[in-house]
Amino acid sequence: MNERLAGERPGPDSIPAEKRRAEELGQGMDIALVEEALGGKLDAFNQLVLRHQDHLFALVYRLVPDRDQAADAVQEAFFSAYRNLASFRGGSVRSWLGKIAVNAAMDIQRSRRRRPSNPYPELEDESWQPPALPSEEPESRTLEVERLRALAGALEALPYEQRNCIVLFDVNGYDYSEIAEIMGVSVGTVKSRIHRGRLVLRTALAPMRELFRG
Amino acid sequence: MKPGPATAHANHDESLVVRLYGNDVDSEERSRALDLLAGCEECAALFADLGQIASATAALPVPERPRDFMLTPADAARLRASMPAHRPSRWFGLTRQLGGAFAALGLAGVLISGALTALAPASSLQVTNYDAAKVGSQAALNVGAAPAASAAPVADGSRGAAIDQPSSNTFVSPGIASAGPSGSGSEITKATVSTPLPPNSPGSVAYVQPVPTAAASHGAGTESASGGQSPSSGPFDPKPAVLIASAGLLLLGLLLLVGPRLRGRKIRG
Repeated sequence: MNERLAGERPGPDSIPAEKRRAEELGQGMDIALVEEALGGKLDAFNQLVLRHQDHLFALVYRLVPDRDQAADAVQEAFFSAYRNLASFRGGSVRSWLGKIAVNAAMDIQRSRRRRPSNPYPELEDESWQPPALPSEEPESRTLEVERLRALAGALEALPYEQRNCIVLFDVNGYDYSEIAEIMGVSVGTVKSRIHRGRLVLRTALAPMRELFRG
Repeated sequence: MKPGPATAHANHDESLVVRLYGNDVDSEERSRALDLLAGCEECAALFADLGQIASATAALPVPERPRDFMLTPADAARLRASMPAHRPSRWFGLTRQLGGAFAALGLAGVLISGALTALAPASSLQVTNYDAAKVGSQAALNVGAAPAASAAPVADGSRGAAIDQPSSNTFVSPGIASAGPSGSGSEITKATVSTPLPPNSPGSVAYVQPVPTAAASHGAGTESASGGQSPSSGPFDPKPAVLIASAGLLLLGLLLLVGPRLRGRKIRG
């Protein structure tokens, strides 16, 4: 009865053993780099930057879909991490950096509430093509662009607390407790935000339901 | 469960389906949610839509990272100069000094008042009724029928020196009798008898307690216990209050010492 349904989100215990092993090795390297950086080696810190900048940029860009603002937020997150390196108390460096980056993104989100912007401007550009489409058919591409545009608009309309939780859960693969730590709220609050946000998204996308039922 | 009419779905718990998708259900809820999926087309469609939306969310495009975010030596130098640990605020220093002072004062207060409390029984004996049988060896202190001036102080402070009314038994507590310096300002006066007793009655005895000389000089050396001074209405004992205040001061000091450090450890967000 407890078998996972098709489409159901996998639980944390379903991570493959190899992937878990790779994550553990990566964490060990991260912690060694943190210790070296604490000893004053800037190169060690920059190794950390190289290891995590892609992940952090993708994370922040999904929260703040503006390339320049996302880049500024990531840069500020690395500055903040360097300043507060001594406050790192073990655990996952990736999660620690993620928390700092999400906080930097949320600072931007709060300022953007007063100054609405156009999310995913590239979707508005007719010449833009989304990367790695499953099909090369022009019709499929058009549908894909339509689908992403609709989704981006619906996500943008969500309260940013709900949007952040959904993105962290669905896109970045954090579990509820990690998101709670990153967002500084309880696990129950995270679950509630995700579940409510999903229902709102689904309602908002209902008129374009066929786009998502390809 | 068979798919019902559209009105049936209105009564279904959509949040249960959403929580099933998020793997946030216990076994009983999971069973109910699966029943909904099996019996209600709308619930099944909701579940499928959630999967589609989540997949599409993960597929949202991310552009090329515009630049590397590595720190230059100049960045590092600037950031090191602004590290919190390198420039403690004046407020931090003040709270640390105040905290240290409060904690030291509080600790001293706790120790002193604790020591005084521990020594207290020897100097603050208060007894109201003694059973003569319990007095035991102090029976020798009983003074029988010698009439005397009731307000006369026990000037020499020696055992058995007190003289009481004829109808009562009186003894002088050894601790009390030896506590005050003989013939000094803290003389001992005899206390009173609450109930008239026949001479040498074993029923009860009175006791002698220290009374300030000033009171005796005003003619109040003898005071009837039944006339107003109850055992619980003695002089105010400040030791518990001092102990509580000291403990509070100690706690405040520790908070001032530790609080800013804890706050400083939080990650800036």
